Amino acid sequence: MIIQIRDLTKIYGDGVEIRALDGVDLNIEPGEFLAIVGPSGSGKSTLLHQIGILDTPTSGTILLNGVDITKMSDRERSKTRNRELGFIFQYHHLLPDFNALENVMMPLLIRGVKPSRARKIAREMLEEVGLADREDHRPNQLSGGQNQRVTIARALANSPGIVIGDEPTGNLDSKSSDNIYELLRRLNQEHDQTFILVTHDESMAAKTDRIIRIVDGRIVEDSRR
Amino acid sequence: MIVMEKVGEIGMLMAMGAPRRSIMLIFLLESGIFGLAGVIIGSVLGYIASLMIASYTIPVPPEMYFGMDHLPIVIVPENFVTAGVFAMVINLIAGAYPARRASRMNPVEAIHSVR
Repeated sequence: MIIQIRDLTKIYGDGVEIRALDGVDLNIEPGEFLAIVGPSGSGKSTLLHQIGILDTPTSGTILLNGVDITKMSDRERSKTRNRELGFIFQYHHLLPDFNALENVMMPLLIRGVKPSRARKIAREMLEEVGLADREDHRPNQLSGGQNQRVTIARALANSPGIVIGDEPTGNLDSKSSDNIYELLRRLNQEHDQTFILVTHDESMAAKTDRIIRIVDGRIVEDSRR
Repeated sequence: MIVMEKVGEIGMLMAMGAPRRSIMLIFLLESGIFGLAGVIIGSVLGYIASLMIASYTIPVPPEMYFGMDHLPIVIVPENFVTAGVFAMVINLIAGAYPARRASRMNPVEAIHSVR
């Protein structure tokens, strides 16, 4: 089990209480390719942020490879995010002052990998997402779909066990979305990494191996294909 | 302020595992580099301006200036050092607050503040 979530609750707000997550239990196996779906405000993004160690729960535990990430210090959280997690957000969030290659190198450099080695790995990753000939282009010189590919290369640069996608195709047209989905799928199969995608695109969710549906902070459906 | 333009990037750096200290350092370094550039440019321009002023004889009424009939222009290197150090200290103080603010951002809010 790569992720084990027990009784996870997240309450926002002082005064008016909002239960974004309400006693969520969830197990995820290594190599799974799953979608978290639900209406907006259902808590699906909140759950993803918890798994991504970007936020802290009000109560409950999340074991990542057997270690409770809710009890980690800020420094350990950063380190775990760097090594164990890759992030793909709706907007690419590439650093505009750096080219594609440098952007992909970033998580490696944060980890402390030597620049020459980081460059080599980043090249391989860009090749894998089909952008080997665009490595010196900056984000504003690339299309939306291309930027999202750079983001995927960046998310996978440190070979994380878990790749998290928060509406990874939410900002793309349907053709680019399909391409990005195919790419994620292929990478999942080749690298055997766990992919967790939050989406409100039901047709994309239907193509994954497992759908977790959240309504009002509770899991109401957990179905496998 | 540069920090506010870069909120999304700060959030992404945090997601990629950059420790808060590094994020603070990035912005302190940035303001330090700009500050240093400012001090150097300012000193050079100040020196040139002083030389230009010194090339003129600027008359002053001797009865008000203890017998001096023109404005004395003396270029003292210490003045450049004092002004430069003072400017850097002000720069550091002004840079520390936004840098600290950047390092304390909530990554989720930072990432979702974009567009």
